[in-house]
Amino acid sequence: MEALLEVQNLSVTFAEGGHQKTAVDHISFAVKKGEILGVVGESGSGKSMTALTVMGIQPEDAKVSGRILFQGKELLSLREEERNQIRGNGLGMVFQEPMTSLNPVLKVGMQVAESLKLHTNLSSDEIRKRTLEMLRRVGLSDAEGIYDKYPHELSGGMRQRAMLAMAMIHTPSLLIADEPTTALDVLVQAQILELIRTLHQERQISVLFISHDLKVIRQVCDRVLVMRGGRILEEGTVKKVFETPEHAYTKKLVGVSVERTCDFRTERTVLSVRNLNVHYKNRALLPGRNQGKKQVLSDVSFDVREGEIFGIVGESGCGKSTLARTITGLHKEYEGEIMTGGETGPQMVFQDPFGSLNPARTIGWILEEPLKVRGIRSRAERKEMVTKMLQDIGLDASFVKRYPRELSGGQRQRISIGLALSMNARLLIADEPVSALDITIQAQILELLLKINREKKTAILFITHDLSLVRRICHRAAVLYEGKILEIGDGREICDHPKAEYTRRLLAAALDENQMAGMR
Amino acid sequence: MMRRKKNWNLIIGLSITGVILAAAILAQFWTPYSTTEMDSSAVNLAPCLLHPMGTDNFGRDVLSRVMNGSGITFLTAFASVAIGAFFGIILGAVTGYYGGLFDEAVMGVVNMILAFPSILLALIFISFLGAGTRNLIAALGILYIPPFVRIVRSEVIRCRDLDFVRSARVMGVKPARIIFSHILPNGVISILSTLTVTFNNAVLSEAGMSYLGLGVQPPIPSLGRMLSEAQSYLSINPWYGLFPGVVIILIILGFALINEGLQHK
Repeated sequence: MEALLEVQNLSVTFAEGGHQKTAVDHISFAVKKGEILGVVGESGSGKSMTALTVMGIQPEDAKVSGRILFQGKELLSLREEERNQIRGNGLGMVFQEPMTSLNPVLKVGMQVAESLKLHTNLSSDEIRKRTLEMLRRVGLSDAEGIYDKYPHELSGGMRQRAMLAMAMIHTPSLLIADEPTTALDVLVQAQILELIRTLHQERQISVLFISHDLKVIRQVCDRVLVMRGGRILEEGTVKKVFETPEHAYTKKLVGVSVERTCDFRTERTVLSVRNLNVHYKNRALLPGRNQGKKQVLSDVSFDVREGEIFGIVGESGCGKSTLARTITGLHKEYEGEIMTGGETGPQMVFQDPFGSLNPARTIGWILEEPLKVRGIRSRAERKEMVTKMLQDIGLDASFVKRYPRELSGGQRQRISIGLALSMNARLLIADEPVSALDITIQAQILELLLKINREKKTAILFITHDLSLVRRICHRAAVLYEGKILEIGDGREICDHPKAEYTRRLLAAALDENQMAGMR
Repeated sequence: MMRRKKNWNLIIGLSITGVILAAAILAQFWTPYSTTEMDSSAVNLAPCLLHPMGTDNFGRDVLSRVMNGSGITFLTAFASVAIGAFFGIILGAVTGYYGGLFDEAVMGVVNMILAFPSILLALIFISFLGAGTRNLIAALGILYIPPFVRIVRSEVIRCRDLDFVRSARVMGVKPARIIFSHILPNGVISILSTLTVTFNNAVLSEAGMSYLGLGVQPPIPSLGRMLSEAQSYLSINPWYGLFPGVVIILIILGFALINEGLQHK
């Protein structure tokens, strides 16, 4: 097959404080006509920078060397106008964040039509017709309605569809998709991926598909590049790279699979939730008007036993974060019963490791705080306990003097877990504790949680959107949908023999899960 | 390794302020001449070896009076800013953290005070309380509460719903400790810059009020007072007005540079 895009010896560097920082390090690859090439790597691997450079929209201060051949034309030596022509006709791009990649003050239809206006001589009626057609094609059936809406009136999935329409309207020969589904819910994610595949088949478009998510890459791509530290470590068909990886890093990436192996559950209950109802009041604009209620959780009941890992699965908006907040006492207005055993209440590990540690304080101070709350007066004793805790969570004593900003996401999440542990809690509530982390780091954090569960018999309420995690880690789990528990039962059982229709859909969207499991 | 650029704003600002402050403190123990003693043989002198800043219309040494006067200016400004910061930070923290009716009420008053020119309000206060250094400090102190309420309140509101504050609440940390030990350290830079800006306003207000005869009372020297007295002798002895004016400018400049330096730290 003929190459559509050829990248030869491409390097992208930045001057940073007197020395050069290399984002992309002499890489060469080709996208063939009609194929979907995946680029997989963790944050900082240079995969997005590669995409931006091919598009010609890399940061101003980036130094680029090498050659990028698109349909036989060398892109890097072209003048800006010529590049614009190629960008308009040959290339299309979809970004990760559908929230910010559409202009908030322009109507969606106008934005989708923009490139037809710039690069063709079509009449405005014809442009409108084609735009509506394209909007329908990407699954926005109410095209006329969407045309005159603003981005904020659309859901995340609809926005990403609109982005796709925008990128596809002039039928580019190459579509660059940079983490197009990362910001979306599982079910929506599956739909968008399906859409990309169909568009690819229908119009014979090549796709450069960038993602950190192996499952997504596996489902969508024909060939894959594995990137790390700006270099390409491995290249080959999806089948080959995933089934017989050669490079040690790829092996690690593909083989990452943390699984719970033991069961220390006792009969003691550490959390008991009975008929929990939570609703938020909608503030009425005018006094005297009937205040509306929004039911967030309805009749939620479950128990968590000592030493148990209990999963709560659901998509965003299903009420799982409200559940966590209500159990920890952050949200105080509820009906029903919540009983937590032991003198210290349940502790919480948050999703975003960048918000959960005080930026103005050192790690030492942060870790001492729960000990102060527990009333440990002696400073020396506290310091000793902090050092011990750092060891337990896999860090060394030098972290005491550092600030959160000096730590990586994984290290911060370790500190967060350490904080919760320092309270001697019998129950840890982990709200999507790994979803913001890179895949190899995810595995380490999961290992740590399992170790804590094993060694300290701490129960964990594990909140996640990822059914595959539930299968591997949770003893039992509950599926939460629109504030109601649809089913509750053994973690493995729920995944293998789902009872509720919704669980089945979630599972189908959890992409190739069985295949992945079979491969290991 | 990246070399850090020297923060010249901060260095120069601190040196200017340091020298003036040192002179003002020294003046509490020693001045070249007495600040109140008159010498009819040396009236309205230009700067000379014996009197580096000249003498005034009563033959008093201007250098001694400037040294002493800047001390009083510093003290007035410092005291009024301290009052403003103390009450402002507490009010801002409480209103920001709890919100509700109390917040609305406090912010109403705060916005009302901020809507008037501060010098006008100070004049009204003084006309009720009577002239004098202490009353001036009290009046300025009350006027400087609102800026601190605003800055602290917005910082507390920004942090209130962040995960690290939630995490502290889940741990069971007491609200007062959450506000002052967890949240406020994040606002140190903005509080510091409010301190320096307000301090400058206080220096100017003190000078202005004393110039109008409503602040520090004679014969105690004050920079503003000296300016107002020098006005009548501007044609005979221009030096008299020059030095107190320059010192006021230097104090302001020093703090402005410190503020600038802190922003870029």
